[in-house]
Formats: sequence, structure tokens, C-alpha cells
Amino acid sequence: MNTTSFGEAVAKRGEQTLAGLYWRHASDAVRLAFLLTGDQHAAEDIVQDAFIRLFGRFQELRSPDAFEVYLRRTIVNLSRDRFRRLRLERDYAAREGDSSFRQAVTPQIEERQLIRDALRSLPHRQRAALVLRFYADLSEQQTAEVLQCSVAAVKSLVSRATASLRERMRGDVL
Amino acid sequence: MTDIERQIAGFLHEEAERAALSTGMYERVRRRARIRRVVTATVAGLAVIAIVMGGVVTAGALRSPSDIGPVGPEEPAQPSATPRDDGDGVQPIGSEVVVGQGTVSGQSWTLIAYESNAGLCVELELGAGRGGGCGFDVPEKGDLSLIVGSEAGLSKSIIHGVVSKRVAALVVTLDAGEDSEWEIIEGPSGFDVNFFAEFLPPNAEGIVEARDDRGAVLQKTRLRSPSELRDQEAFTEEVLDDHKLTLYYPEGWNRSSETLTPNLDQPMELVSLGTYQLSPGGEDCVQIPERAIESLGPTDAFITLQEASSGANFPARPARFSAEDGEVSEAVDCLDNAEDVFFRMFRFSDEGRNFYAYAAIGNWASPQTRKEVWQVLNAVLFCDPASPPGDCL
Repeated sequence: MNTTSFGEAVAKRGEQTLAGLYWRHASDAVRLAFLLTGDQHAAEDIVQDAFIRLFGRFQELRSPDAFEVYLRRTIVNLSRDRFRRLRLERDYAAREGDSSFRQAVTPQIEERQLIRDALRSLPHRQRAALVLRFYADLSEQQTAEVLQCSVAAVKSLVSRATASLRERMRGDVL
Repeated sequence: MTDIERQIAGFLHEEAERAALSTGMYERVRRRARIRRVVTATVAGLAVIAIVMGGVVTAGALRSPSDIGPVGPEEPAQPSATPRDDGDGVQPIGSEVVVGQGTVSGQSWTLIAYESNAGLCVELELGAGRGGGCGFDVPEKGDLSLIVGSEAGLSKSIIHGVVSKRVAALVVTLDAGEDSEWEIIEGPSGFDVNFFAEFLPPNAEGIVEARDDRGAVLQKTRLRSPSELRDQEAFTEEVLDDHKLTLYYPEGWNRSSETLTPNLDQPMELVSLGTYQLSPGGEDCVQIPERAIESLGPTDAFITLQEASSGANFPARPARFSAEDGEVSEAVDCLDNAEDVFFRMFRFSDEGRNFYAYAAIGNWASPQTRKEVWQVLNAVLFCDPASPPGDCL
């Protein structure tokens, strides 16, 4: 092994690669995280964490093309973790009688808000399946890879999610 | 695509436009990528911190000390970058000071020290990477503290750390049979410790001894390979003198501070740890931590180690624990959630002692969590019951 050239390659890869990866993927990543969390700040935090995690393991990715797949998967996993934390906090607050965590009842009844609320009410995996299929335009196979489940499970998640949305909206909007 | 699917897609695309990259976000990512993590784990006077600066350790040859070439005490200490907080809660107090420099494999490295609210911090900058830790407890609680890490593209283990001023020599004996003495870099004024930085073959393991000027061993520590730690940002080492074992576990795991099998005398529970909050007791069986396993979440993992005081036919400890090698224990019948967990028992002997290890993994646990289960089991070090306190390393 030519250690000098290897070392030079590593040095070149450092900041430039991080910058390249960031500017190529960050915008889409934030949008994906936003759709999964419904929160701009949370989306940014998640994307930052995802980049840090993946950049540290960049050498282990099989190919540069795989970065986007890993990034999506990491974002989905991190948003799922956040979703769980929030649920635990809400459960705790409910037990303790803290009303601050209760979902605000909004007087806004416009369609977009109804859909937004309906989407947010979905279980995380159902929401992720919808976002990956219909926003990221991933195939069922690709969605299954990101969610680390079977294609049949993806179909089921999407089916249940759309049924839930339809039910939630009572056919008024969707 | 159905009508409703089209409507959802349209809504999602419009909704996504509400999200935007904020200015300054890249700078935050860049700074955090520079130092991924600063975590300390201090046990029995020894801070051992594993820092992975980003990559795969591959095969390579040991270079001579002259090639590594630390600058040493004759090089004047230089104030360096502005103190910073990289989001780890560590607030530098003083300026960064370059305490050593050199080259390895064609890359220059710089050893940097600074005081912080978490104690002394020492970081090694190499190429585009930089990593280290804070909270060295030398000389207050010991004479030697070290960090083991790796860096993407450099086919070496990176070891750096601090020694007390009374350490005159660092003698290293690798398991592969090589002996060497590491150069000690005298700490600049303002630091009451000396420093060192060395580069070894990847996965090198052995013993590091800190000796005084008469050759007496002040402290010794086991040098562990970073390969086991590669995917983890931090690794906690705990020397459990009462049970004569040393435990290594990654971030996200916690060790139970109490026995989880309070009604079990034989075998005796030594230690239990998991990725979630552990509760003792159980209703159906006393031989396993039933309640703890039943509260295991779908993505969690759990390990418990028990020692048998007597018994025969315990096979030698396997070279590697793996899912395939475990036995399906009848204890699984005790569990209400048996269908939701992968549950295996291992019987083995090590250092003349007999053990049971139980591993429980939720069906939805990530590959990383599953991997960590075997890493923890593979890394646990059992010692001779007669070994002196603090020597189980």
C-alpha cells in the first residue's frame, strides 16, 4: 500500500467531501425530516445528527451512491426516535396531569391544516411510508430498504395510512 | 397511483416547500464533524475513551519511532485556536496548546491540550480528523490515562494520553510479542502532566506499563483494539473488582446497579446491562431476570452474566459469541414476551470459572444493537479470583 498517496487522498476527502455531501443532500434531507416531524427545528437537528453519523462512517459505505439511501434511513430512524421520546413525554405529562403537552385544539379548520393534523396523527412508520413513497418517490422496494421491512409491510403501511387519513378526513377533503 | 395517493403526494410536495435550510447549519455540521464526540468514562482511576475519527482500520506495518517523531519538550508550546464548544457541553477554559507534533504515514499530526469545565482535554489532530477526550484524572487518581482510536484511511491504531510527572517510562508489550518504549512528551508550563502519542498496527493489543525512574510499575492498563469500538462513539470500561471482571459497553447501554435476580443464590448474578431501564424480580422464575427481560422493548437488548460456583461440562469460552451458538434455554418459558425476543443462553468457562450468559434481543432491534450485544459479550474480561484489586484489565 502506498501510504503517502493514501494519506493524501484521505486529507483531500475531509472537508471537501463533507461540504459536497452536505450541499448535495441537505436541502432534500431537511424537507424529508420536516415531513416526518412537522417541525422545522427538529428537522434541522435530525439532519445535522444524520450527517455527523454518516460522515463518520463514510468509508464504510459501499459506494457514494449509497449515501442518500443511508441518509434517508438515518433520518427516518432519528425522527422515529424523536417521535418515541415525545410520546413518552406526553404519556408522562398525561399521568402527571400536565396539560402543556396536550395537543392544542386549533380553531383553524382550513383543509391544509386538517390534512396536516391527520398526517401527524399517523403512527410514525405509516407516515414514513407515505412520505417515502409519495414525496421521495421511492419504489416499494426502496421504501422497504429504508424502513428495513418487507415490501408487503410497505404495502400494508401505505394502505393503512391512506385508510386512516380517509377516515380521519371523513372524505371531506381527501 | 390512486386519487387519494395523488392528493397526498401533492400535499406532501407543497408542504415540503415550507422547510428550508437555515443559514449557519452547514457550519454547525462541519464543526461537529470535526470532533464527533467527547466523552469520558472514569473507572478506578483510569479514563479510557475510544474515539473513532471516522473510518475503517486496515492492515499496515508499524513504523519506527523516528518516523512517528513527536517534537518533545524542546518545542515551545504554542497557543492555538480559539476555545470553543462543539455542542458536547464541554467549555474550554484556557487556550489550546500544542504539546506535540509529528508525522505518521505521510500525514502530520498535532497533539493539543486545553483545560475545560470537564477537566483536562487532549485531542489529536490528524489530516482532516480530530478526536480526543476530556476529564483525565491524572495525577489525582492515577498515573496513566489513554485514548485508543482510529482514523479513516490511516492503517494504525492511534493511542494518546497523559501520564503523571513521576512516570519516567512507558513500556508497551504487545500480545504479538513486540516490546517497545513510548516517548513521553514533557508537558508545557501550566500542565501538571506529561503527554504521549503513538501509532500502532491496527488492532494491536497488549499491556502498557507506566514505570517510575527506578523501574517500578506505577500503573498498567490493557491496550485494547479499536476495531471492536469502531462503530461506537464512546465505550465505557468498568472494573468490577468484587466479581473479578472488566466490562466494556457502548454508549446507550446502562448497567444495573442492583441484582435483577434477588431470589437467586446459585448461580450468582454478576452483572446485567441493557439498552433500557432495568427492573429486578419476576413472578414465574428465579433463575433469570424475568421482569427486566419482559420489559425489553422491541428494539432493545439485554445481557446478564451469572457465575456458577460448581459444575462440570462447561465448555471453554468461544472465541466469538454469536447468535448461532447460543442454546435455547428452557427459561424462555418463563417469559410472557417470548415471541417478541430472541433469547439465548451460553454456558462457558474462562479463567477456571464457570459462567452463564443470557442475551435477549427485541425482534425489531437494529443491526447495530444486535452487533453491540456480541461486542459486549466478546469484550468482557474475566480474571483469576486471586488477582489483586484493580488488576483485572
